[in-house]
Amino acid sequence: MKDKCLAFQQETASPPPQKASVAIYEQIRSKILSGELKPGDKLPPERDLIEMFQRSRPTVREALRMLENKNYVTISRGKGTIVNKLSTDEVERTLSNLVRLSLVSVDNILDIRNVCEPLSISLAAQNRTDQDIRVMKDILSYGEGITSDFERSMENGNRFNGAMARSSHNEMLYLIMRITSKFSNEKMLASAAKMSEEEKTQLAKNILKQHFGLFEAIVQRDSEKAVQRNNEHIQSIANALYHV
Amino acid sequence: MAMNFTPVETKKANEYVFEQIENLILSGQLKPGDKLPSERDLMEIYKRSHPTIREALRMLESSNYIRVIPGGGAEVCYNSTEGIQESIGELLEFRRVSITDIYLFAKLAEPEFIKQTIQHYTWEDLVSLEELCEAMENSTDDAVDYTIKMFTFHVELMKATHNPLLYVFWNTMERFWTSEKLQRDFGSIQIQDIRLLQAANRDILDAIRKEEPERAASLVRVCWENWQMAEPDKEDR
Repeated sequence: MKDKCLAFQQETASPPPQKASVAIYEQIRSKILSGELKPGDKLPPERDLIEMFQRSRPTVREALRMLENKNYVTISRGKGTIVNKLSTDEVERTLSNLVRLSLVSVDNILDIRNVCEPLSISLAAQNRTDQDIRVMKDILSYGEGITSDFERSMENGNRFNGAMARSSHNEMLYLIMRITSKFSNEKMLASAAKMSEEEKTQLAKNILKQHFGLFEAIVQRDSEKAVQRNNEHIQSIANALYHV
Repeated sequence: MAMNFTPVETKKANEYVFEQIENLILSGQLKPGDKLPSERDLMEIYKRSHPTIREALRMLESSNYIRVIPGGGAEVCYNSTEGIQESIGELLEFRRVSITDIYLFAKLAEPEFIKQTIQHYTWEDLVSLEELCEAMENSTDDAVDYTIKMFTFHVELMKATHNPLLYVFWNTMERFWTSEKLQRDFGSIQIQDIRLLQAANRDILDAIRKEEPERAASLVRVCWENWQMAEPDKEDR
């Protein structure tokens, strides 16, 4: 990670009057959004920023805090200020709040996911690369060893779903699947909570087996088979949970 | 003898105050338009120093929960769907989601969602949709202008599902699409036959009124087939 020597402009007093810290925040933020500053990049040290922006330390600090507040950067004493990879966390958090405020229902979220999932899987079968296959295979192999640990099995299953969505190579679909996955998981885990340990282990094994089937269809680049197997998989989970 | 010590967590004072007020806003106890107590009162309520309170207020402002009003004081301005639209928009920008991905996604997903439109639309939705369709009728000689109006029409179609999240996604995609830096890609729009496209859009409304989901889905597909994007240059990906 090297310091980025960037030409931060001296903030000029131009209308409309804007707090200096906000102006600094905006400048850095737009460099992050444009890709000029990439995840992992380190911002210049505070004293350099003070020099570049020609502003006081508190002002620069406030701007950095605002960036940290919005998750654009992480500030740590030893390592300085590092640009984050913008995750879906902020959106997921806001979405949870909307559900809590009853502005969006869980059904709204799942309705969207139910439409998008077969699309994502179909595209995964079409667009997947050898690298994607390797990643998915590793996840499934790992899953074989942990079927008696229900929580870890479910986590691993989520990782598999994420890898499948990635293989679609459509970023919009991937983001939607990512954002909605938490709500689908929560629903499932809530229902499974009432199951016995044996039932849970059996469920974990079945899910893994179905994931292997899905994986096979994707390897074969057979979209139809993949979508069909996914439908069966969803039905099977619903049955298992319904009978609890 | 084994002892179990648990990790001790400390929280910065300003974060504590921030979270307290954030919770009040998110739970609806403080509504948009409500005024916050003065800084002095907040110091009293939370038993914290002035700098701490000021920092917490700054954090609230930067998270778009409150707005400082002229004359002093702060009021709650949190409008949640705006908030999530902004976050999703930033995510799209940051992840460099390409216009092709959005187009492909809309092309695949809208035919499915239009069925939900038919299930939930109201009379007011139809009125808005009619108006937007009229506006499109008047722009059939300008591909760029027509495109912009057509997207607005399709966003309204998704709004009529009455799934607020779906509307948020489509609205964000539309804003992202027509934002300045993507205008340069408009050079590569290919509309085979704009009159055919307009007819298809018109017929979608007809299919909705007659509550024919399969026909509506098929017409939405026709629309997206007819409106094509040539693959933009990949240099910016």
